[in-house]
Amino acid sequence: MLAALSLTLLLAALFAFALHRLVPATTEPVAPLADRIDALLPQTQCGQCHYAGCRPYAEAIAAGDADINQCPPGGEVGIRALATLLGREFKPLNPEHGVETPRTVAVIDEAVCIGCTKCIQVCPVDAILGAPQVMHSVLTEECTGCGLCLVPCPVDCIAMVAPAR
Amino acid sequence: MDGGALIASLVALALANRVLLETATKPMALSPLGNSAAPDPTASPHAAATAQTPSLFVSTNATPTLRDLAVHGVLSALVVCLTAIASWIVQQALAPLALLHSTAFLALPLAAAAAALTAFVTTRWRAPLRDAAWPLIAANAVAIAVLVPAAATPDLATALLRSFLAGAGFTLDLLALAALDARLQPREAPAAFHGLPLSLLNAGLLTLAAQGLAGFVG
Repeated sequence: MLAALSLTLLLAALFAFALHRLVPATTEPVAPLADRIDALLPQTQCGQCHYAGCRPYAEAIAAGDADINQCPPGGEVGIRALATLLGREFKPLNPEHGVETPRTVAVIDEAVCIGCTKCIQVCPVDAILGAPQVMHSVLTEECTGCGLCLVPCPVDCIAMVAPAR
Repeated sequence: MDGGALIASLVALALANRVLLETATKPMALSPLGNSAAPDPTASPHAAATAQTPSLFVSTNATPTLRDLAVHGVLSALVVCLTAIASWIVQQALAPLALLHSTAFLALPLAAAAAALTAFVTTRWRAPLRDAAWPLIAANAVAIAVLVPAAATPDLATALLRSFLAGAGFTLDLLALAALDARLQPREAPAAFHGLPLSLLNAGLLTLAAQGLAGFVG
């Protein structure tokens, strides 16, 4: 019985060693640079960086076409995170792209809303619910506070307020 | 079963494995069984980095490489050993009841269970093993368990050693056949001989050599 036991252990070690040598351990692939930059951006899709959204801005940074200080919603914290990731010097937010403001969400004054759907069309994250001639409403959880819906509203019924939580 | 017949059976099993592993990838072509995994020079560096980890077996690789065959053989040997242990224990438990006349039928479910267990454990350890030809490995375990009936031996250590040696021999046959094919597919050979016919001839040569060795030893 002892012989069988020691033989089993020996064979187990042998098989483990053989498979260990034959099948290399797989390492997690590192995400492309644009993905890692995109993960640090606030995903407001506000376009204040002069790109269509956060992903295009991330790709522009990765390609070296854009600077890291063009994102007002990300603010100083976001710029520092980007500088750390890219190994660059921190630089203050470029005022050309706006100023850092506290996070807000859009709220529609439903008594005033005429149901024109213009805000729905510009919302980059589909956070506004509604239909033509029907009152609109904002899904607060989805709203990124980009403020893009303020300009097209013909009756100025949208306000940016501090989020409830 | 004498040594020569056992060796011949193992070579035949290894050849069948090679043909199956090959045809599973390219169902329409019984093309040369040599290893032809030349890296694509146009591939991007990222793809090269992923291709560096050899993709095992049927799902991705066109032709199983020597490493793939070695992994296949080692896994088969492992399952053979587990099957031997399990069937020996079951045989010992059932022997007083005189329920079993043939251990071959016992090997069938036990080998399947051993292969499933091995697949379950090893794929959690090394994910690429998910692509290993597990049904074929289980079939190998059944075949080797029939060739080397471990349950019939009274001593577990002997049964285990015999099964391991059979599994190791199977692995060596697999590698030897692949190496023979890599070297002995002469371009001057008639076109009809290329591929499988020459592989069969090589397997015959290997068996002949091994038979001579068996006669020399035994």
